[in-house]
Amino acid sequence: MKRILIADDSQTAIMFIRRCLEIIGFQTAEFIEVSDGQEALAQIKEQVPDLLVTDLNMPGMDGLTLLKRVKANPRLHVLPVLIISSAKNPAREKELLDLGALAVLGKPVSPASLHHTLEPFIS
Amino acid sequence: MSSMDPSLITPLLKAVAETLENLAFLTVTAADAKAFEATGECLCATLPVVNPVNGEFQLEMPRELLERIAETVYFIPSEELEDATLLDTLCEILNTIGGRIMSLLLPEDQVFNLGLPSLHEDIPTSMPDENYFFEVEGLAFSLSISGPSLLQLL
Repeated sequence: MKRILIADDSQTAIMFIRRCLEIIGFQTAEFIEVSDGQEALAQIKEQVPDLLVTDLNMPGMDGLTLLKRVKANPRLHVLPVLIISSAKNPAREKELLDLGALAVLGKPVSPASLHHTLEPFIS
Repeated sequence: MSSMDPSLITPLLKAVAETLENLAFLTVTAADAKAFEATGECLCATLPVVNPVNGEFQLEMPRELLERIAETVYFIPSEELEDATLLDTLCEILNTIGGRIMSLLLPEDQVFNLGLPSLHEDIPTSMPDENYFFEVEGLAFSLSISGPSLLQLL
């Protein structure tokens, strides 16, 4: 079973992303939901997920710091990190991809865009 | 402004329509102030824009429309939805619309930053600089934009 960690300060965003992931083939995945980067790191420390999906703009530790912390850790740097943010544009996308993000999707995300990005992870 | 400036219909309507269509399969059309005045109880949230310009988006949406959207996202009947869920839904809609508008208005190589959305229990009485109105199945709502440097983008 895949283990997917979703970090977003909006419960609505988490629910929507989760529904989209279930639609595209992750219906049997275990979802762990947290509201900021600090909580995400605590969860990752407990058990490394198969995929981290994170927003950028969150109170406390933001998604950019979370991405940098994950990619700076030799034990975690292969963890795929998908960024889903309302503040996405090509310049921001390049910055995040250079830091090691798997992909950057703008809100509103759709099942189709998630499927396109995550196809290799769907078993 | 009480009606849509035709040159703004495309980016603003596109941002609002994409957001509600993706979130809840709803079709959005442009509306006017008169339609919004007839709307019932509304909930209100604001979203600051902090870089590269300063300003604020404000979204006022009828409770009934928020209930429809939240029902779709959460898969639970409206009578079981808590106020906190509706307010979170409103903030997420505004966050998404604000981000889409900024990405449509700014050049591709321009990074932008938004603040965190916040709720207003009392709808502000002073009218923001620009008000735009939209409608979903007879339920009108308003998106307002304020701040000189943000408005210069329009």
